Amino acid sequence: MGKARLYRYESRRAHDTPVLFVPNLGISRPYIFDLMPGASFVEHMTGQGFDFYLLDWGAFGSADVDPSAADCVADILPRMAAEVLRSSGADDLSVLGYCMGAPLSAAFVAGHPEIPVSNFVDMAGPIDFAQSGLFRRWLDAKYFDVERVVAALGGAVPAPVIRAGFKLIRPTADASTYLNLWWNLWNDQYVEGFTALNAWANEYVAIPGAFFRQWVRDFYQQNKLYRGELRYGGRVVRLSDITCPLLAVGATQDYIAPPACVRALVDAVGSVDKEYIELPGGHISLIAGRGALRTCWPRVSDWLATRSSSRATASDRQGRR
Amino acid sequence: MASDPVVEYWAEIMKHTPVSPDVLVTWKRVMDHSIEAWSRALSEVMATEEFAQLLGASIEQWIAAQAPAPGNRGQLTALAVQVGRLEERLQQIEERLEGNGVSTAAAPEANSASAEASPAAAEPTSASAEPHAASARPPLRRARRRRAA
Repeated sequence: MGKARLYRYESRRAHDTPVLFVPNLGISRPYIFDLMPGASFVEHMTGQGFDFYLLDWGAFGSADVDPSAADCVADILPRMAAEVLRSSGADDLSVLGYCMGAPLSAAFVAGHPEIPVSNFVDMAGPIDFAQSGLFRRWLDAKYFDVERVVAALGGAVPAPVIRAGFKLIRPTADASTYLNLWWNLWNDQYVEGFTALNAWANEYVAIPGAFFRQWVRDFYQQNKLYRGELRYGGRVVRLSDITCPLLAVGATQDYIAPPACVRALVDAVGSVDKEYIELPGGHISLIAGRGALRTCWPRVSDWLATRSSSRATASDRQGRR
Repeated sequence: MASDPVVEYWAEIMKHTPVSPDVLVTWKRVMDHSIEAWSRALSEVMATEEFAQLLGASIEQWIAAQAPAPGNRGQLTALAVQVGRLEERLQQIEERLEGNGVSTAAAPEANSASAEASPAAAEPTSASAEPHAASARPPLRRARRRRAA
């Protein structure tokens, strides 16, 4: 299991179905999901009566090679889901993936039908990598030899390299950020939020070498998940095997997971009950800031609430599949 | 008369900037539009094949620069690439064997069972054994600090 940890946040439990939240691996720390009072996704979800389990993949250093993407999908996620069910005593769970946590979760849900996943939510998670924008172009196998890069690095892709990649994808972001800070310097609430968010935004985390290799090759370069060619842990992953209710959430100005590559999940799954919503803002604005509290989180929690209200409605949910 | 591209650029920005009696507000809007225009222009350049090619070449140079002893480093890198490809090949063979009904991986039930027993999997249990009051803010950062300590 390596460095992965599962954090449980208990609620008054208005809903029996707990939520397993799967964020990105590496790149950034997961405390963004519980940033500060009034701007915390965890706080919102527990406030809505969901027992919330946050998966922390761990803080990787430059020597970390493992886990691979296959380890995440075929080993870590099934174990974490089993732990959620065991510790909550629930019969089923909802899985909510954010960013790269969404395609990993989608692969896990599709490949593990024996685990009772009642609902799946993809928040800003790329699925059809052919439509994933600049990263797809830059990581094209014609120009980017991932084997050579990982071999040369010897372990993980270090945090400064990750930082450089994300700064490059939107080079004017810092100018815009600091202009807005200057403009709002008189606004204590804004400055408080900025300080917390900026500290997080500049704390980059390395990506383990084995994960990076599979992530780039299988997802970005060969688009195996979307094409039904992914095979992890001896299981073929077909998105059409996802039959539970699905919600996909895209952000209009998301440069990391452009709306089209998120929306692709809706057509790929076998679910009958499925919905795509597109909200204003960028990749981060879905999970951080007071705007998310107004526009995104209530949509997600309301959607889940109607599909995980109580054990008495389990048969209804089955009927919707 | 040939027009100045810089003037044209600012004229385009000003065209999309609503006029306000407050000079600072207008200035802020101009800056916002200017940054957005730069962002769009840079994105267009960065989305080209040429840029991807240039970036790939830069990464290659960077890899080469990492090597304190180019010959040895190069050999090591080549070896590591080969090992990586061997691993991949092994995985494919394993998958083919599994496809033929020969199981080389633990069954999912076995994974779940071992999760109960493994010390790493026991960690989440201890994490979940620290219940938080429903009304309390979930202390993720505090929890992490405790664990680190």
